[in-house]
Amino acid sequence: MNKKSKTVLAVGGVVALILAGCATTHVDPPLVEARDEVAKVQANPDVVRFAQADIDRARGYLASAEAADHKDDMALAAHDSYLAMQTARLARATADEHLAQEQVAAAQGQRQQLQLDARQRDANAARDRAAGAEQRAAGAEQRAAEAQAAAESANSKALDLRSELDQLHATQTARGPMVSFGDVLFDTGADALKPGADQNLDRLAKFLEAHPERRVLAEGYTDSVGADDYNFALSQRRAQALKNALVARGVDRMRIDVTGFGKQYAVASNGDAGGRQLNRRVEVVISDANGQIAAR
Amino acid sequence: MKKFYPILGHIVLGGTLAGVLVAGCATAAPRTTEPLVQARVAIEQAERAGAGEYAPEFLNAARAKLARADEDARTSGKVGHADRLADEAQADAQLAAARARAKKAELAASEVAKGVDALKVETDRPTT
Repeated sequence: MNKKSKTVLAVGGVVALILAGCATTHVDPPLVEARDEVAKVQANPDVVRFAQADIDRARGYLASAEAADHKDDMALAAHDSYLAMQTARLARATADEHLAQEQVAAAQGQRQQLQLDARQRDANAARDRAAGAEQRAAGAEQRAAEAQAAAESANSKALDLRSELDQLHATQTARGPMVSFGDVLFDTGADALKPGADQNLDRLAKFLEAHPERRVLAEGYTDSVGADDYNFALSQRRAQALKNALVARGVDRMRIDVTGFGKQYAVASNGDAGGRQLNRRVEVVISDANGQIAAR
Repeated sequence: MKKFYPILGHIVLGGTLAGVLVAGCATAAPRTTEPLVQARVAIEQAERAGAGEYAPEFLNAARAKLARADEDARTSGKVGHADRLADEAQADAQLAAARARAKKAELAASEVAKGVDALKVETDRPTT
């Protein structure tokens, strides 16, 4: 062994001594780890919030470990350091548990809220559907009422028309309502209306005033006595007389057509006086609401 | 004086016998100290908390230390050493129990969160 190697050995020995000294007095690994862990959990707000009691216990063990370390009781220092370490970890685990429980509670609250929202949305949808249905029902009801009112109105108009025609002593024929002016209103062979026709003419004029959409066709007829030409002309004159009488009562002449059929279309037998009297007549046919009258 | 020897001998014999009996009792039954009892209770609590499943490393450490503490207390009579081991076993067991509870709570939290996600998907569906 030379001088150089002796020096190396000496230096190494000193270093080893220093290291050993540190290790035994202040750099005891369990104690350092425990200090570190306790400091960490103390600095963690969650652990402070949920496990302050555990932190306090860990600090108690750590203080004991420090004291033992000071007294060079390494075994006790290691033991207390271990307890401080495990208690600090316990504090952390306790905090973890509480944090997870908080998450569970929050999630449950969220779930409840979601379920509530869903129920609310379902209820709203149902309410909207009900409201829509109600609205549709109300619409249908209104339309039904309107239709009924229209029907009633039409019905009542029809009734009104019917009663008006009844007052005219109109007969319902296939061609439309027809008012017949018999020959008692004309002198034999004459075309002048007798005053007895006035009342019925007044009514007919009034009816035409109330129903400007309707037109009339005055048709003259005779019995079979006499020449056809004569009868034909007479029938036309009588129809014309009726037209004049209506025009005199304010009816637009354009709404009145006139024709004569002579002895045609007899309504009774020309074999006796009574029948011939029935055949001498002027018939006024009233048009439909569109002004149409079917031709004979 | 010699006359009393047999009586004295009996007394000595009885005392020795009693001593042996007491000593026998002490060594035959494991010496139970407060830390040993507490460590055992803590281990049972950790087992009930599910530490066997969720924190087996600390539970096993606790069991091993308790076994060594029992052994020390029974044989070598190093009571102080046994008590320290028992204290450490108790700390290990308590930590194991806390870890198990935390683990279970975390599992529950993730389950509930999954449920909420599923519900969200369901309720976000447009109602028809």
